Amino acid sequence: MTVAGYQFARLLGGVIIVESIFVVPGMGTLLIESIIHRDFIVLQAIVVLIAAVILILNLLIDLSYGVFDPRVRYQ
Amino acid sequence: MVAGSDAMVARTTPDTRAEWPARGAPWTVLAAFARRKPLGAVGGLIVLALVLTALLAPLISPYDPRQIIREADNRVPVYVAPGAAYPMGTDHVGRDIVSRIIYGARISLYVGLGAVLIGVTGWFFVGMVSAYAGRTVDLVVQRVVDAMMAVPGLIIVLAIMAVLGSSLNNVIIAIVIGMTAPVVRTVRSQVLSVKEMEYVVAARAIGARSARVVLRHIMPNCLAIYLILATYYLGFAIILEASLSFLGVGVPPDVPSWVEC
Repeated sequence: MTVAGYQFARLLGGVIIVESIFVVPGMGTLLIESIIHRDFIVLQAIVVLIAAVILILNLLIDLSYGVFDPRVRYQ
Repeated sequence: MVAGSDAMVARTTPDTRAEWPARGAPWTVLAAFARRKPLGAVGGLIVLALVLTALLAPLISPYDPRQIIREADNRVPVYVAPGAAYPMGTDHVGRDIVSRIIYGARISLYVGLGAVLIGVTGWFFVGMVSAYAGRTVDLVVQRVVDAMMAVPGLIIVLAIMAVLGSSLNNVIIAIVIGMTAPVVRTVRSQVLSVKEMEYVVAARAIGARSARVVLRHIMPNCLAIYLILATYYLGFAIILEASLSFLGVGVPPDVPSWVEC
């Protein structure tokens, strides 16, 4: 499960290259465009958004241990 | 009394000495290694070919990689198909592709080795000091590393490249910062386990200073993890540099790289 969270982080990092190959108009393309045009505010916003998504996902994974593993139960 | 005692003691443990040939000429040692580990020998040949290509680039490549070729009557060969004159053709501004690939080996090795030597060594010491110092220093360093682990590596590198600008040394700096979190974390976990070994406890008990304990006892036992990290992040750095060049934010356009967008 922890590995799944780590792999999700790597997937989010790789989505930039995938969007660049398949020309999918997504946040990865927006990130590259903001870097090329030196739009630092958009760059900050995207980095904060991606970090927030990864943090929330890791929190959910840690909470899900209580669901999947009966030996671990939070009070 | 003493003369026959050796013959009477039976050999109880098997002879576990490794069977390497005696140190002879380098050629025989290499041949023995190739016979013993053929896959390693093939890998070594590939790496050697790469390093020789990078070192002998001015002798091997037919043209200068940054020179826009001018043919007779001022024509510039743009997107010429591979043929006799240009073994792999030319690119969109008229430079020979074979030369760019041969010189690209230099750039990739420079970025990879530079990022590994600076990054892995630097963060190795940071992780070691953080794990050995404990409490406040460890807390501060690990919170910074946690913050960096929340963002994927490629995005950190892209953000640093956006700030620093497009240059060869900036790529190395960005990759060094991007490899912080995994290296510091791995080294810290290894040092934490080595710190509790008996010889470290004994050294501290007889009053050795912290610097001596770290340099003399802890660091040599973490050299294995250093070598593993260095070899892994060498490939990682080369691939990351290729990703940056593919996205267009890596090395400047005139520098020959293996990936050109």
